[in-house]
Amino acid sequence: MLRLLRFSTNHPRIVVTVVAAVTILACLFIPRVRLQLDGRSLIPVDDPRLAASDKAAEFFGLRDVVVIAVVNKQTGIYTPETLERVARLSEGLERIDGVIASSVTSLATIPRLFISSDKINTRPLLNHGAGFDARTCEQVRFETESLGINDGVIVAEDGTGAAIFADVTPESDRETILKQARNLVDKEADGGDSVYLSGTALAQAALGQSAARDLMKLIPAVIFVVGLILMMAFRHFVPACVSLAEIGISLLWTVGLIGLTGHSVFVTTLVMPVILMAVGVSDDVYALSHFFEEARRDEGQPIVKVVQTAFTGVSRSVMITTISTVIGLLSLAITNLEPLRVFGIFGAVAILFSSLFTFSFVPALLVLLDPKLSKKQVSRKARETRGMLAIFNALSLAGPRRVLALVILSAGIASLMMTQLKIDDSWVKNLPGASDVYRGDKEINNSFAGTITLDLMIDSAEAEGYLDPEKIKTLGSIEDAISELPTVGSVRSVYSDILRVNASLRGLNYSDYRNAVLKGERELTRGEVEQAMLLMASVRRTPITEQIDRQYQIARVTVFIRSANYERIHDVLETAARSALKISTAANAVTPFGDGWISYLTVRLLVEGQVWSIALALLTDLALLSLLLGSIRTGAIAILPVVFSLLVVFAVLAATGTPLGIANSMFAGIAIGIGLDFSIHLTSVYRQGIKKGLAHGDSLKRALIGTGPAIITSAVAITAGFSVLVLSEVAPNMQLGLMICLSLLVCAAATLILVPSLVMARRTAR
Amino acid sequence: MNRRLSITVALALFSFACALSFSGCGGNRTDAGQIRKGVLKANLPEPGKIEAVQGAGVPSVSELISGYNARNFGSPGWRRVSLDLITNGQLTRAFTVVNLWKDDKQEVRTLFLLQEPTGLRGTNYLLAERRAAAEIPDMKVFLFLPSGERQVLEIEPSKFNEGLLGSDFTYTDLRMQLPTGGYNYKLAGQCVLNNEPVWVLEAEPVSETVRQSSNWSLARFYLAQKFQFLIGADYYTDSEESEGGRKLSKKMRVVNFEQINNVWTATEINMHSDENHYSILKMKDARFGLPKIDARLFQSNELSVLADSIRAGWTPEKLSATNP
Repeated sequence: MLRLLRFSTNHPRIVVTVVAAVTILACLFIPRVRLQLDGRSLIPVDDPRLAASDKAAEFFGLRDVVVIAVVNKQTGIYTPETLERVARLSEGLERIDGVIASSVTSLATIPRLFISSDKINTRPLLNHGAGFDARTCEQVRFETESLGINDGVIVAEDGTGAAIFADVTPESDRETILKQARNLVDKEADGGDSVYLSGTALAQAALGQSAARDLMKLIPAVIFVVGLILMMAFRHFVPACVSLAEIGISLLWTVGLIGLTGHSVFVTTLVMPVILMAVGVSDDVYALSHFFEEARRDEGQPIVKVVQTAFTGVSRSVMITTISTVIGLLSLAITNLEPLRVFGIFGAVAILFSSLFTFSFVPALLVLLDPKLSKKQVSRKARETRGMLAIFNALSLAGPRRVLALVILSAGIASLMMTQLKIDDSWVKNLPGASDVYRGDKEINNSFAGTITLDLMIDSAEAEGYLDPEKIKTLGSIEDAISELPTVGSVRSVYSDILRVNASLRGLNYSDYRNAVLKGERELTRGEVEQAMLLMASVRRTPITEQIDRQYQIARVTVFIRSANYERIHDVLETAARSALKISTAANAVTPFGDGWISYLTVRLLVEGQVWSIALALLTDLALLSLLLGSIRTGAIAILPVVFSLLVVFAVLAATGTPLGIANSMFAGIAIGIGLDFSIHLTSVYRQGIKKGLAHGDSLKRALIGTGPAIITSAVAITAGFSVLVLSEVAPNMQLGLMICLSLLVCAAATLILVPSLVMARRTAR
Repeated sequence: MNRRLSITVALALFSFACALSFSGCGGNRTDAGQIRKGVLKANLPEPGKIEAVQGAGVPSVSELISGYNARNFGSPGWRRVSLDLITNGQLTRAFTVVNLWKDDKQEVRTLFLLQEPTGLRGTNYLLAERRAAAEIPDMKVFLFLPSGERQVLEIEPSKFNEGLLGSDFTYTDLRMQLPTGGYNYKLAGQCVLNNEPVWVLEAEPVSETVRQSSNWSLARFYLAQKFQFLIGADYYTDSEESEGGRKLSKKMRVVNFEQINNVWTATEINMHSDENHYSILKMKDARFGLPKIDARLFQSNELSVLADSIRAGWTPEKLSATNP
């Protein structure tokens, strides 16, 4: 590293030229970076927990969906105007590129088995192009209610809303679909109906758009804020420009590398450049502080000598802090969530590039630019020294043991509060509150059965198992058991469809017939089951194979959960597993899949990943610091401030009811990586003082004066950098910004208070 | 750089490598839409290049249609067929169906009596085609369901292109004649299919209503030149993405056929409408020209009687002796 430093200061033009050339090369690969929008991409392809559910999803042809809802609270939907609107929107949705036309499901498309004058009719309730009058509307209401279609999925139970669902092809451009769906809805703006948009496909696109808008806004903001803070800290524009150029180039190299290696970025971690710009400034603050200090000590020195002396002086601590930051970020890579892994690995790469530039590009630029020291900078040093001495004296006066007792008490309370921490994530909840998709989803969750579905594949363990009336009735009992959960909006399976067909053939009301079968007042024979299956198999529009396999062995139960979250999905899974025992005792009788399952699994992986990654990062950092500082005790002291700051942030999240999700969970890795830098600088200088033979008190004072101002500058600069995330439209990004700011401020304060107190307390004890 | 720092850097690099392999970065990436459906390797006879035809010896469209519709199909007669539904190369459902048909010059009536699976035994269809009808619908389909209310139901004409028994064959695929109304026909040329020279007859629905109920916008029928027989058919739907604005949506091929008692009959027909799903109709047994078959059997109100007889063990072999 020192050889590189010498080469860079002696040949600055070569270094700058090489860096510029490689940067241009890196930029060529940036267009190859792909943005992943689908939910399944969050979890690796080969995750064993998803192998079975992937097969189930393929088996039943599961895809991302678009939902359009038409709501009229005043008149309900059974009016010519509203029903025509539903028919128009259904037809319009069929024509959207990427939407599978045959999958559009609404009152205007689903075949209903209706018998009139001994004629079997499977035409949709609403016919395209057919005129609607009051009598037709009343007939639609009668048939909808009679067939039990008003179960909250395509028709709201109270008849005030009608929904249109459609599948999208996996390769379709979600943003194009969102744009066309918005156009479709905009055309229906007139009239008394409210039209809403939702569905995973649209939520992904809307989130992608919000994240892209965020980037356009946040990158200039973070450049401005970090630049301003650096200008204020050094009272000079050169360090700000040099530091920002260095961070920007390391980012370009990293993004180019992502493109070169064919990796993708995820919408939940699209804010990575903003985070890395804020993180990357850390080392520069220490290195440039030393540079100005060196320049101040001997103003007559040639610039090459000043740069070499200053950067050599910080090489050790910058190396250590780089390692700790890299460890913090890499700790994210051990999780089983792709966005965190990609962020962790490439974030670490960006930090390594940044540190490499700290000893090559930055010194080269400083040599070329040769910044001159101003008088203001000289007077500032005296003020900083006085401030640090005041901290030291205050700690001595208050008594280190008292300070420690207060910290332990705070940590204890924070640990207790942490037990209430919620973990949750969803595409829609991540959207800005003003988003049409967010508002649409909220309304659909209020008026309908919910937008998140959990699918269950239930194996009867034998071919034609579900032709057995007892087994198909057990499928019905699973439906009924799940339906009783208060958060479940609706449950569907082939059992409901069989009863619906049989009720139609008998001219009975579906609900009455279902209750009669449930009470045993009406028998369900194998012939009736087979007959109903045969009729459904004949209808092309809604293939029965989306509900049951062609051998009638494996059935799908779809559960609509209102405002689905981890606990609600967990309740459904437990109920289903208990009920399914009547069908098969096999351990794999129930295979969950679909959006709800991915969301549930994501949360579980997030919890497991957080525990392991934080533990691993702290243990690795402890081992490294103990080795570098030559003392396990000093290593442990250096770790404590960051541990304390993590506890405080988790406690604040729990207290405010903010759930930990994929995007905001990145805070732990970042906080460990950067927060540890503070105590590394302080303890390193303290240990150097001890080695030089200074008394503990003097060494501590020297360490505080030497590193305290830089710790504060760094904490303020990075916090200011991260604070721009509060401008984000995406709630988790905003939360991430606040969490890192809080964590770093607590960590910096804990470093300047807790570390000296622990050292003082230890000396007093001796 | 001192020794301790070197060890630290080495440790960091080691942990970096561990994390990389632990994370599986590179080999483990998620690839949305990674699931690909296997494309069926169908080994079906395909038509050769279609050659334009004109001049003497070339039949007109109306001659072709009327010749085909007037062919001898052994009326009255019966055959027992197996209908196998294949998904992803595996047999998922098998039916045994007995077919009875009778041509009374005004109408051709065909019965489909389900014998297997046992649970569906007695489920019957009756298909009645009017001869030389200028308008469509030129046929009616009745269905008898033996369980529950034991109703005879008529199927809406707009649903004649739904799958019979969930197979790839629709009600219209099983009719004995080519419809004379509702479609514009043209002779597209000739080619060879399944080693037989064939005329290629193209049909297009005359109206949007007919197109919607047909589920196709163009059909190509391959009619044998040497005898009256339909050897294959291709059905196309409109598609903006496909070349020529149409894509092949369904394909029927008579894989095997033979002449029995002067009647040309298919012994195996394959129908493909989906890359992972197709249906095979195989003839197991047949009798042609049985004058004793009672015309009353072909009435919709007799379907329930037929169902009861079938459930009581009636087989078509008994037709040569007595009617059910």
